Parts: sequence; structure tokens; C-alpha cells
Amino acid sequence: MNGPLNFTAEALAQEATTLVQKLSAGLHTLPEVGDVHYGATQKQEVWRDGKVVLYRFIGEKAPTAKVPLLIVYALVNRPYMVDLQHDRSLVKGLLAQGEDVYVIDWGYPDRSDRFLELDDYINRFLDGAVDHLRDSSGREAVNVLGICQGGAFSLCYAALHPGKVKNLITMVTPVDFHTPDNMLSLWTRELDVDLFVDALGNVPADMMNACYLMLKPFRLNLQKYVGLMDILDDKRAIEDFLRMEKWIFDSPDLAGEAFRQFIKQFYQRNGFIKGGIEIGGEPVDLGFVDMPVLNIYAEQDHLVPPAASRALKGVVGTADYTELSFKGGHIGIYVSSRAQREVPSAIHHWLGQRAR
Amino acid sequence: MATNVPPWPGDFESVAQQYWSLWGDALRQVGAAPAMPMPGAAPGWQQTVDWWAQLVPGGQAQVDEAVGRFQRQASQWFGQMQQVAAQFTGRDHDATDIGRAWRSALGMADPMPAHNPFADIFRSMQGGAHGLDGWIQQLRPWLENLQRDGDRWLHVPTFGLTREHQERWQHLAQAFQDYQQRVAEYDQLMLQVAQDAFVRFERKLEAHAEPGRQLQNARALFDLWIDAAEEAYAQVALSEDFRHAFGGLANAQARLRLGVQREVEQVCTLFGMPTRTEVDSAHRKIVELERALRRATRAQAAPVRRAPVQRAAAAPAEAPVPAEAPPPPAPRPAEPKTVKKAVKKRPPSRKPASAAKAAPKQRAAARKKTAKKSARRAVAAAAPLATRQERMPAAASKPARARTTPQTVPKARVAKAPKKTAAPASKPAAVVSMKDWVARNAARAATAQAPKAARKTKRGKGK
Repeated sequence: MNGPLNFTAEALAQEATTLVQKLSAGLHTLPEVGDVHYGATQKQEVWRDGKVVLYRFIGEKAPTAKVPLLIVYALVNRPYMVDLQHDRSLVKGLLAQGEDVYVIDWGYPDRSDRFLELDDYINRFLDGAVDHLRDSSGREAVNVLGICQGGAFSLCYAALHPGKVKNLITMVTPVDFHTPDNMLSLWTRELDVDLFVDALGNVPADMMNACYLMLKPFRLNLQKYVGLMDILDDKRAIEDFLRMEKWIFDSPDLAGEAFRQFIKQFYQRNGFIKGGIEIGGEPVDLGFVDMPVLNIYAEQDHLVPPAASRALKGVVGTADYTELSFKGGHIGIYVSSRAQREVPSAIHHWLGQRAR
Repeated sequence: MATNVPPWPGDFESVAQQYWSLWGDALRQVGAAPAMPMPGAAPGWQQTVDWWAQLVPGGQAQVDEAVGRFQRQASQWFGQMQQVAAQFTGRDHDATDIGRAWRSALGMADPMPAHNPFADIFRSMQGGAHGLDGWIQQLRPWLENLQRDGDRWLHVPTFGLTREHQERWQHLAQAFQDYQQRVAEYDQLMLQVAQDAFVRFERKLEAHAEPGRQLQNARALFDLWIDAAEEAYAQVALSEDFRHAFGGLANAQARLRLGVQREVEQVCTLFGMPTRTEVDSAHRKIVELERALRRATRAQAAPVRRAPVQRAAAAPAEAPVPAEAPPPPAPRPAEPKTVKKAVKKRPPSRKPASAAKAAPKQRAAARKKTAKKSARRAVAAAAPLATRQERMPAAASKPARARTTPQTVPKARVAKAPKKTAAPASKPAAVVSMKDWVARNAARAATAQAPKAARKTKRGKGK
């Protein structure tokens, strides 16, 4: 038979039959999938300011690291993004290496939080959490691991409070927001963000998630769910799938004013590169980030293109700058099996080399 | 469930009938069939999936959501692709034939189709609780009523007792009109994506025409289509046209939303109900009060709070304290030992170079402005730490905030010119793979451990 398709009618019938079998199996497995649990590691609240909570993760053994490691993730995520399940947990890997790991949980802002600004997030919440860790650990400075937008926050924080950050790790963090392959950034250029926030108040999580899905609409809306059929007979795979769904769609609304400032200063003005970022009235200059910096980016990142992350090298003040590429995407860097093998080790080794 | 594959009956509808029969067997096994009415004869893939989705026990939000997403979109597209694939079994064909069949299946054989399923994908994504589409559909009759008299009415001057109301309604109707135009522009781009995706699909199919590269099942055909559609979409989504259309659509939505919110507030005010504007205003006051309270509390707490260690790098090489400079904040009770240690430990940064290259124009302008203000700043502008020096007064004016205070570290001020810190690990020049880096470090650690272990063993033996 000539042509691009080389299957017989019987093969097509077999394929259809297999799919029906999968659907049928799904009727058995789906009811067995109980409540899917998220967050594999035990954690303990150690500090709180309003809805923002600082948690300490408790590993199977006591940490050997003397300096706390604070994870700062993006406002659109939840803390379990770094601790999804036992075999997909950046936190677990870091604990196993002996790190003393903390995460700042931004909570779910509601309408009363609409007027929270970047100053509140960086100089109030983040600074409050860092001060708590400095006090509790007796250290002058702590290690900070910023992820995605949390990485941008961490950079601002490190520039404004360099004395409080011993080592800074940024993961999939956008620095140059105007690289030509940055789809999200391009879409925000003509957005009237004042009008947008005035109309919406807080920015709904659904809207943000729709934007992320629009980056790869056919893969993320169609292909992924067709792929769901393949695993309908595998309870564990379904549970993993559902956890990822939760990871992706469980997003807090974004505080309106903070969103307004972030879009204007970072996405539209590209402030890290062009200057002009102000947090609480103070200019942010990454030249002041003089502590050792480890910058990790993902080679197939569709949200934060590698070039957007790698631009950090050119603007950061430190001479002790290390850049590592991870073979994977924006989500794979936390949850893939490769990530479990490589990311905690890399971070731990790098920190170990700078432990004093 | 039966696992034997029945013989091919000749057409896809019969296949559907056939797997429906298999499906019935499966359902009887799980005891679900009697409770559910069977759809009409010869159901297709979509009916099968719809029926299946009804049988999946509900009540678990995550499961319901995933099944819903599968049922609403993915299965429809895949079902259609199965039907297209079925048309080409057992006969010669080429890429164009498949492309044409796929266009027809999606109702896009006409270059200007009445309906574009591509645009539907994006609408369905916006269809959540905060999506505008469904909401606007509900409001459409009312908004269209406003537009009933056409454009002319929208632009006539307003006057009289209801002048303000008329003007507001005009703006709302104009916002609705603008929104419709923006949706049309956006849909036009989506049509462009669709047309390009078909072209790319055919091209990709051609590449699979050679023996050995042919597609082996309907799923592979579907995946190829997804690749083509993503490529076509990415090209448009990164274009200036899309940027303009997307921004325009988002702004039009926001204007329309604001307009409707104003109307709702009018009604609320009429009946003495609180409005969102009032609630926002109250929230703003609370936040501002809270901030003022925090500033006051921190100002009180600041003297006893431990100050961050000042890094040597943060201090200018030879920064004179200007006579006109605001008084520095009170020195914090930082332990001299700690400070000294930190100064020794912390290598100076290369921020001058970085600051200069980050935004030369802005920084040059800032330097110029600064130079006019005072002699100190002129010196600072020439020196590499201009930005830091500008920050000093700001920090001094906000003593409540625990910030680095150069005055607390006199030693740092007389430190030598900044020099780069030597990284413990070699500085990567190009892309460094994490995998390699980890492996290298693990090997290094193992090598470092080996002599120790050997010594230990030797000592142990000696004992």
C-alpha cells in the first residue's frame, strides 16, 4: 500500500478494541483511586505572617547542613510543587543530602489581599521568613533557592538585602523577559495591565492557567488527555497523572497590585536587564547580588526559555557564578525521574563547596 | 472483555458497532449495563466516550475534572482522526488525500468556514468560572438591546437629567462592539493557524510516505497532527499580529467587564447594597493602616534587631561621607567579631561593572542627575558604586527597615577596590550539563574520599 499510512483495517480495529479495553479498565481503576495525597514530606509550621506560612521540612535524619535553605516558589504555585510525592520530591532529595529545608507558603490571597504589593511579598513576607531563619539558626545569612517567579523575587531580595543571603540558587528563573522566544512576555506587551487589574481585582487562577495552556494548546488540551487512555488500566499511573493535574491547576489567585507591578516592571519594562525595578521605592540592581549564585535552567522550558534565565550571568554582581543546564522542561525539572537524580545532588554539591 | 479481534467489517461505523458490542460485554462484566440506557444503533467513538464518562463514578473532583477534559475535547478530536484513518485502510493514498479528509472532518474544507474548531479550543480554555465568553453570552441580549439603534445612537451627544446614565450606556455599548471586533480579529488569526496547520500536516505526512517511515496506527496520525498544529500555532503566537490581537482582546474584555461592573454598582447603590468599589476602598485603607503599623513597630524593634552583616563588596572603595548627607541610622549593635569575620569572608562584588553594563543609558542619566545634586554624588557617579550610594539616603530615611548600613562597618569602607571572588569550582564558559556536573563532582568526592578511606584502613590494619 502506497502512502503515509500503513495500517490495515484489522490493525485499526485492534487499536479501537484496545482503547475500549482501556476505557473499560478505567471503570475499575478510577473508583479505586482514592483521595490523591500531595506533599510527601512531613513539615512543621515555624513562622507565620497573615496567610503566609514558613514551613520546615522534617527528613528521616537530622540535617547536617548548618545553614537553612529556604525555597521560594512562584505565586501561582503551591508548596507541594517541590514535594509532590515520594519519588518526585526535590525536598526529599535535598533532605536526604543533609540540607535543612524550608519553604515559604504564599497561601491563597483573597479579595482583602488585593492591595498587597511586591514590597509586601519581598520586604515583608520573604524578609520576615529570612529574619526568622537567621534568628532561629543563629546565622547571619541563609541559603535561598528561588524557583521561577520565586527566583525573580529571590534576586530582588538578594539585591536589596545582600547581607542576609549566603548563597543564592535560582531555578528556571526569568531574568531577561524580552528574549524573542518568550511567548508569555510577548503577550503581555500590549496588555493594559492597569485596566486589567482594575477590572479583575485579583487575577483569577483560572485565567492564569488558561494562559499557560495557551502556550501549547494542542499538546496540553488534546494530546495529554488522549494519552490518559493509555494509563486507564494502571492505578498508580492514574494517581501520578492526577497529582500532576493538581500541581498544574491548583493555583492561588494573584494579588492584583503585585500582579500589576510584576507585569509592568518585569514583563513589560524588562527591568532586570534595562533597570528601573523598584521594590518599596528602592531600586533593585542585580549588581548587588554579590553572594555565590547557582543558576539552573531547563533546556526545553516553554515558560522560561533558557536564554531568559542565562541572561543572569551578565547582570549579576557576583564573580562566583555557576550555571547548569537541566535536560528537561519547566515542570520536569521538579518531577521527572532525571530531576530526582540530578537536581538535589547538584544543589547539595554546590552548596557544600561553599560551606564555611 | 473479549480479546479476540473480530474481522474488519468494511467501514468505520461497523467498527464502532463492533466495539460497541465489545463495550457492552465489558459493561456487563462490571455490572453497569442494566442501569444505563444504550444509545441508538451504530454509535461512534464519541458516543462511546460520552457513555463511558457517565459510567465513571463521580464524586472525586480530580477524577471528574480529568474525565471531563478528556470527554469534552480530546476524545472528539481523536475520534474524528480515527474516522479519517479508517478511510485510507486498504487503498493507495497520498498526503493530500489525508489532509483533505481531515479538513472535511473538521468542517474546514471551505477556506472561510462557518465554524472554526481551533477557536473553540481557546474558548473552552477560557470557559472557567472567570471566563468571559459564557458570561457575555448571558449578557448578549441586553448588550445587543443597547446597540439596537445602531452606531448612530452610540455617538449622539447626551443631555438632560439622565445625561450621565446615557453616556455610561453608550460607553458600555461601544465596549461591547469593540470586544466583538477584537474577538473577530483573534478568530481570524486562529483561522490562519488552522490553515497553516493543514499545510504543515500534509508536509509532515509526505515525509512519512517512504516505506519504513509510514505511520502504523491512528494514534500516530493524531500525534503528527498535534505536532503540525503546535508548530503553526507557535509561529503565529510569537508574531506581532498575535501580540496586537491578544493585547487588544484582553483590553477589550477588561473594558467591557468594567462597564458591566459599573452598571451592577448602579443597581447596588440604588438598593443600598455595598459595592465592590466600596469594599476595595475599605481593603485599601486596612492595608495602608497595616503598613503604617508595621513601619512603626519595626522602627521600635529595629535597634534591638540583629543587623545583617555588611559585606565588603557593598562598601565603596573610598566613599567620603558628605557633609550634606542625612544623618546615618544609629549603628546597630552588631558584634564586631562577626562583622570582621564577614568582611573577611565576603569577597567584594563586581557590581560596578555589572551595574554599568546592565543599563548604560539609564545609569548614565542617573549619574548625570546625581552629579547635579551634590559633590558627593558626582564622585559617586564616577565611582562604580553609584547606585549603592543613591540607596544610602533612602535606607537612612527608612530606619525601620532592617537594611545594610554601611556606617556599621567602618572597616569595609576603607577596603581595597572591589575584586572578583574566585569561585571554588571552575567557572563554566559554555553550557554545562547538570548531569555531567553532578557526575564530575561525585567522582571528585569519591577520589577525595578514597585516600582517607585507605588511610583509615591502613591505620585499622596497624592496630
